[in-house]
Amino acid sequence: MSNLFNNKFKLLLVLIALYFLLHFALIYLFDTVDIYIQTFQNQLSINRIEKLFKLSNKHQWLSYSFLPIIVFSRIIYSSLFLYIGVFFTELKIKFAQLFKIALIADFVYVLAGLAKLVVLIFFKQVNTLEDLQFQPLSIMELLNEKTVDPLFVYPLSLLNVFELAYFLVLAWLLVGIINEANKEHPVKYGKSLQLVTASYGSGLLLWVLVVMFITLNLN
Amino acid sequence: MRRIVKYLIIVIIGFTVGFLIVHIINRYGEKKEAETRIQSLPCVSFNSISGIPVNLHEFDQTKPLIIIYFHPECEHCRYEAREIGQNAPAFHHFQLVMVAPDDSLQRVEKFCSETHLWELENLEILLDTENQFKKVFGNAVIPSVYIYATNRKLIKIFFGETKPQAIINATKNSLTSN
Repeated sequence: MSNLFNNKFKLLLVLIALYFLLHFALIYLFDTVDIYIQTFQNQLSINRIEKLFKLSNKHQWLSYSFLPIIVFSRIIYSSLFLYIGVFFTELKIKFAQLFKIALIADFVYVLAGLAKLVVLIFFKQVNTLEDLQFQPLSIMELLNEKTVDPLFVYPLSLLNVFELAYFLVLAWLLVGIINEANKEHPVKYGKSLQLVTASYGSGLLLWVLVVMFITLNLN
Repeated sequence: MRRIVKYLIIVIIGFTVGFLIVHIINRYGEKKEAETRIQSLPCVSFNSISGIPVNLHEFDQTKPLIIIYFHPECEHCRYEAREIGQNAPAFHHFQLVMVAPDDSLQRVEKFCSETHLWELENLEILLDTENQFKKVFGNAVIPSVYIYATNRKLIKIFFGETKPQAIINATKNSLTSN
């Protein structure tokens, strides 16, 4: 039990460390005063932009300190909805096991972050802060952002290859756990994918709706 | 017991999803309606400092109208107002209307004195005491700037702090298009 906890803890540390590296790379390469000037020069004076940039730099530690909380919350959220799904199937699977597969599957998002960094470095001209806000291989990338209502930018960005890969990896990891818990009646990958779609899919739908709700009510 | 919990989970998730969908559809509809409405200057009244209702259509129709939504406690609004005060001659050919959601007259008056806004002859300060601004304009970003041409068609909206030059540039475009 203690070994299992240690493994998970180490895995979580590695995951968070990778996110830190990606975040650091993005800030180091693209968080410059020039990008701020190009973004806001039509609306703000140069001295105000420089002040804004300094203020943003001063509070940069906040983004680093929130990163582990965000990652941990996301894993807990996925595990929770998987647990609800498992609860409906009468299978005997512990929350800790689901936490572990959600933790492993989260490495898919690291790949997504890496892909974004590669695109930004080699394939995309970054002039403004808006250029940094995109999700590679998503439906949103096929559309002209100016023609899409801001309310639909997040849901359309979420429809991407990496999100699909997350579903598939989660189902692949879950099938192993299900068959371990239910040795007499092993299930196939398709059944596990159905369970992931119904459980984690519901959680994702709920999350998207919450984000849309906040977007609309923010102003 | 397990069956009850299952039903309870379905009801809670279903209710939450339903509530969010209904709210999103309603709010989105309201927002789109407001977006269409404000393309022409909406017919709405706010109270003047002396408490008299003033309709936005009452202002000189030969001048472009600049509506600034602000709050006396907002640092960005303070900076923006001070910049406008310092560049008063550049705004001479426009009608400026500043609308505050705050109903504290003292705070608004103090704000205007500190930022020298009283020195602008073509400026009117109005108070949105009944929270009409968000309902009519669909947004209530502090500060925000709405620029209407002399035919009272919307030319530009700025959300957030805006430098005087950006406002003047937008109004210049309106003058040339008229």
